[in-house]
Amino acid sequence: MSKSMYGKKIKPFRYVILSVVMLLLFLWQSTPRLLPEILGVTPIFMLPLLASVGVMAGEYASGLFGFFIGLLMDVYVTPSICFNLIAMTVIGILCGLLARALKFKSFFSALVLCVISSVIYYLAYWLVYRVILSGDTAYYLLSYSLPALIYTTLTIIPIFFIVKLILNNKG
Amino acid sequence: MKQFFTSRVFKFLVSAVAVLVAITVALGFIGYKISPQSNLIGMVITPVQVVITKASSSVERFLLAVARTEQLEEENNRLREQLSSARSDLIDLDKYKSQNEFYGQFLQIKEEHPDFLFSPATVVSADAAATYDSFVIDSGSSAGIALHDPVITAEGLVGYISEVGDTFSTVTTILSPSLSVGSMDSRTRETGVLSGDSVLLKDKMCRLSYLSRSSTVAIGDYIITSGSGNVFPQGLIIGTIDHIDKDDSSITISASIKPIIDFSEISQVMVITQFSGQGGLK
Repeated sequence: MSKSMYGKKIKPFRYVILSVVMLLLFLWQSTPRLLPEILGVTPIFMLPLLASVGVMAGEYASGLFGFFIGLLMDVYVTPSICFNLIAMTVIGILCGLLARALKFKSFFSALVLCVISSVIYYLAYWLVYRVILSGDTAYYLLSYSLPALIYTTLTIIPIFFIVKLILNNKG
Repeated sequence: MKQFFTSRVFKFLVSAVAVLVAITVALGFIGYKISPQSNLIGMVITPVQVVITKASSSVERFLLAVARTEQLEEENNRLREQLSSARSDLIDLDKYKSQNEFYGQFLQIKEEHPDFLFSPATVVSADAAATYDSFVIDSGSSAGIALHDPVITAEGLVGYISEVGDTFSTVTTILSPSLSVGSMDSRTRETGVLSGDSVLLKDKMCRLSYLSRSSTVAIGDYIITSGSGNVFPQGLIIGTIDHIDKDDSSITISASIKPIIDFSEISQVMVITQFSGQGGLK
């Protein structure tokens, strides 16, 4: 059994439940017209999920979750260049390491990690898919990535507490 | 922290990512456009996504039927019981009616283009980070779909197949800056190149470039595919000219095109798996 950031051991079946929740959130974010659009963008639930897992379960769990989340997200991206696999694995590891190094344990810590993760992800996505592959300018970054980042960060409010409930962290 | 970088988990993650990236890159060089891991996961995930998408549409139709029924109940109390029992029938009728309308419109296209072979598909998901650039449909190579097959609705051109799995495919739309379509004005027959544009993407429009400065295109003109490159058949409606941009420093002019299709409402498409003269990108 792995240890949470609070020193308590997390039972494996809780990770199984978290995996099911992760899958449901992924299906929800990918289904067209199931999420309300704000300024033409929808959020990515996986980023606040990784931040929350990083805070509550550490770098091993968040790294592994990031790996599998990346595999899932790459299914629906074109061209298929393993972007999400690399990005989400790195973000997962980073969230866990930062949370442990800075002793992040609270909701606000997860919020900070979520903002950091979202900035990294949306910047990297813009660089790879918009600048390198499409010859784009900063317009997309300001008009789409920024609202998407804010929208994604707001979703940490329910997601953090769902993850906390599942992992039964009483820190 | 150092302990993590020497742990088995970290070594597994690094080696797994490296292997998968290497496989994807290697297959990319020999012509495969979709990674094997994405293909495998997609085969499992896509049927689930189809169920969720259809359930979501059913709930939407049910709520509309309820709202309509409630309006009638307020207007006439006497018919309330009859309307309640007819509610479930109405949902089924709406579904069959929309299906009939969908296929009926494609019958007209088939009569105009007897060389077209179609494969119907449903939009099941989209990349959460992309903005109408691409989406996934529930048909793949097992349904006869191949890379770069054009994708249309009864109204007009949607885009083309950019990745093919066994049971699902990714469609890149005309709003994507990575897709260029040989196009022409249906009235003046002047040709240009249509592609997505980040600035116009917010308004769900695209740009028609490389029109000559002496061009006589006008706002409201219909833009259709020219058939050049043999990727898209000639004559598919793309949209209408919304605005003409004349840059004095350029030898060409461009126009903003409003697609005929509302990409935020798209749910069912047809993939043209074969047409006369098909070739182009392979």
